[in-house]
Amino acid sequence: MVSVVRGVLKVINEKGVGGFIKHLREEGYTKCLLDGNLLQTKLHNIGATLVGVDKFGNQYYEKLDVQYGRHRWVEYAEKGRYNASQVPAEWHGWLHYVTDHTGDELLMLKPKRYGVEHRENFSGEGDAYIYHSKGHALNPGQRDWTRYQPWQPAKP
Amino acid sequence: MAARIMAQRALQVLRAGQPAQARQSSLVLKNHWQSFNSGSSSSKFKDDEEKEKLAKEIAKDWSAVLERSVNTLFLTEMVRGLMLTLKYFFERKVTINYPFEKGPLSPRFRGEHALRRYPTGEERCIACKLCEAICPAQAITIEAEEREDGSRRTTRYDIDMTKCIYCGFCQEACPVDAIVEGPNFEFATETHEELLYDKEKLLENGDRWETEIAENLRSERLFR
Repeated sequence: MVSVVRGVLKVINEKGVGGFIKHLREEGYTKCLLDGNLLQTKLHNIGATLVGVDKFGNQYYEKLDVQYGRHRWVEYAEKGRYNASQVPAEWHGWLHYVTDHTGDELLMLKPKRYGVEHRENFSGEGDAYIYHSKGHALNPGQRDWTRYQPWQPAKP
Repeated sequence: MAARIMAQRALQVLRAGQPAQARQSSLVLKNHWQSFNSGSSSSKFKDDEEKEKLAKEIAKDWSAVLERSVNTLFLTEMVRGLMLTLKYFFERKVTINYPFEKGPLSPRFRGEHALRRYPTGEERCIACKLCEAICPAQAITIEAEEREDGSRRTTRYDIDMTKCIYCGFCQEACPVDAIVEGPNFEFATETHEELLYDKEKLLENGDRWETEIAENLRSERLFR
C-alpha cells in the first residue's frame, strides 16, 4: 500500500497534476471504474514482477506467491477493446504455461527468412479485416483461379 | 403390490397436510395392513407406521410447533442460503480472469492448423495426400500438380475447420511435418465461410505461429 502511494506521489511530482490525470487515462485507470476485470488486473499488478513487454505494448506479469495457476497474466496495451488473440505467438506459450521460456527468449526461434506479423482475430469487425478464401468474391487475388480449357473449334 | 400403492397414497395424503383425512386413511390402512401383512415386505410398512406415529408426536409437541412457525415466519432457510452465498463471495476463487489470465495448455495441444515451411522458406508439403486419406472427418481436400521446377506441390490444400474434429491424425500422418495443429485456439469466427481455410491461409498461420510451434516441437523432441 505504501509503495502504491509512493508511486502515485512520484508520478505527480514528475508530471504535475494535469500530467497525472493524463497518465491515469492512458494507463486505463479511468476504464477500471466500469471494467471490473481490468480493475482486478490492475490490483493484481501491485507487487508483481514485469517479465516483459512485447512489440505491441502488452505487458506480461508474474507473481509466484498468488494462487497457483493464476500466477502469470497479461495487461493488454489496448485498454478498451482488449482481445485474447492479441497475444503474439512468442508470448503465447509462456502465458499458457506451455513453456517457462519468456517471449523474448523465444524470439530466438523466430524464422529469419520468412514470417508475417501477428494479428488478432478480426472476425466480426467487417469485410475489410477478415480473411476470404480463394474463390470468394471479396478476395481480390482470386480472379485468375479458373482452370478450364476453352473449346477450340476445329478448323475446316 | 396393492398394499404398496395404498401406502403411497396414504403418504401423499399426509404430505398434502390434511391430518383428519390422513387419520381416517391410516385407520383404513391399518385394516389393510392386517390383511396383507403376511408377506415378506411387512417390515417396510412397520417403518412407515413408526414414522407416522413419530410425526404425530412431533406435531403435538409445543416447542416443535413454535420452531416450525419461527422457521416459516422469519425465512431462516433464506438467510442460511444467502449466508452460504456470502461465504463463497469471500472465498478464494476457482475461476480465472480469462482474457488477462489464461488456462494451462499442453505443448501437444491440437488447435488451429498451420502449414510449415523449411528454414529456407520453401513450403514443406509435398502433396502426398496421407493427411487427406487418414482424416476421419474428410475435412481435407488436396489437389497436386507439378511445379515449374519439377517438384510435386499442392495447388489446393483446403481444410474445412467446421468438419475437423481436431484428432491430430493429419499431423501424425505427415512425413515431412508440414501440417501441424498449432497452439492457437482463439480463431472463432462470426461466419461459416471464414472457417473454410485454404492453402494461403494455412501457410500464413504457419508463418505467424512458427515461433511457438518450433518451441513445442523442440520440447517434445525426445518423445517423437
